[in-house]
Amino acid sequence: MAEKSGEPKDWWDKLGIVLQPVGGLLAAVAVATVGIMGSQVINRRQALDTNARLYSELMSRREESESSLRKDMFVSIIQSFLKPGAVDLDSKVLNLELLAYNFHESLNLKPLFLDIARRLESPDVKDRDKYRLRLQQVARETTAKQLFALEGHGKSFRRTVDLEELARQGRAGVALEGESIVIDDLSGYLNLRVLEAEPDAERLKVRLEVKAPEGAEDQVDTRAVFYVGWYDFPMIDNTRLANGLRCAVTLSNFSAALADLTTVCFPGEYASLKDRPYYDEVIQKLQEATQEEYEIGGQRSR
Amino acid sequence: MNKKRIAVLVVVLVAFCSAASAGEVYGKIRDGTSPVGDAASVEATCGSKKYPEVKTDKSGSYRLVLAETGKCTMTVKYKQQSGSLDIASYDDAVQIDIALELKDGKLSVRRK
Repeated sequence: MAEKSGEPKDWWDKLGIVLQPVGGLLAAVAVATVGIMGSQVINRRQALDTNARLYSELMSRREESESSLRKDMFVSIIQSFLKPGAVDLDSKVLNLELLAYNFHESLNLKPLFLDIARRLESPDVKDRDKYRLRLQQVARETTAKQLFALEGHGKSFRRTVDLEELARQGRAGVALEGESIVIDDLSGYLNLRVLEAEPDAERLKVRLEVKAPEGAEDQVDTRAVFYVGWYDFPMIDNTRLANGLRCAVTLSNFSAALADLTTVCFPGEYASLKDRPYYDEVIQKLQEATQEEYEIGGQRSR
Repeated sequence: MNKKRIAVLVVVLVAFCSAASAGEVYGKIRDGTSPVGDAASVEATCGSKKYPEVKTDKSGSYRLVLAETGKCTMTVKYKQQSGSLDIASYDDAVQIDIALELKDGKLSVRRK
């Protein structure tokens, strides 16, 4: 708007004169506000980062000290089993109880349980029944704890085996009612057949068959034959299925005529600490997570 | 006299404790996937002995104490229908979760 000299200023000219310095002031205020807010965001982010770092440091230090304590404890207990002779049966049972209560999620203790059970067969053992009961009690408690933890993340079902019927059927065994398992988007149909019973050892020979769902041509059926006794713990002793799930069969009760089996299936992440995932499984999970993040980001930007 | 009383008391206590743990059957009853709440009841028969009906609680859970061990039959009553299931009773407690399904007006009882 060119201003001609001598002409009276109209309303727009007057507004322009007033707004020119106000505009400069507003720009300065906007720059200052952005600066203050930006620094506040950065400060908040830094505080969060510092807290997260401190928390992870504390956690890793606690983990380290706990691991070292557990390692010392483990070494001293395991030595009592490996040293020949010397240690009496009572101490061995006590040490096994210590191991089972403290390391049942990371170690397969079945060989130690079986070793002590074999020693108890010796004719010169006094209080044999008392020791057997202690072994069975710790094994049952451990199984129950693990089942409780796994049932929270997976699916389970229980079946009764008629041992008299099993004896009548001979080698054909007894088929138990199957069960369909669905965990997240993974599924399968489980069949159990009890092939043999060993009443003295209180264990059953079982065949587990897992059929892949219809239409899943890329998945194969899983079939495994194994013995199930008191010392088979589900987190440690389980069958890895083709779709990444794990299934374990445990003994819940055993009498002269009947036995109860509990079968639990759960995602592989909840298997024992000693059980590492396959590398291709890890890579597949990472790829899935990245893909999900990408999809969520895409949805937000739309 | 005092010793006799103590002995009797001990015997009664021991009998009570063993009855409380022996043959305990417990579990949860679901109609499909949701718990039945307190709308169902269970009773058991072991040989010739019949145990009285027990109602489920608000969460659909039940608990029966059976004096006998071995094979028993459990009957579940729900929505004016009933169905039976063969169960096993042991010295130790046994968990028997049940899934109910109404098929053509008939109650199907299945162990989970």
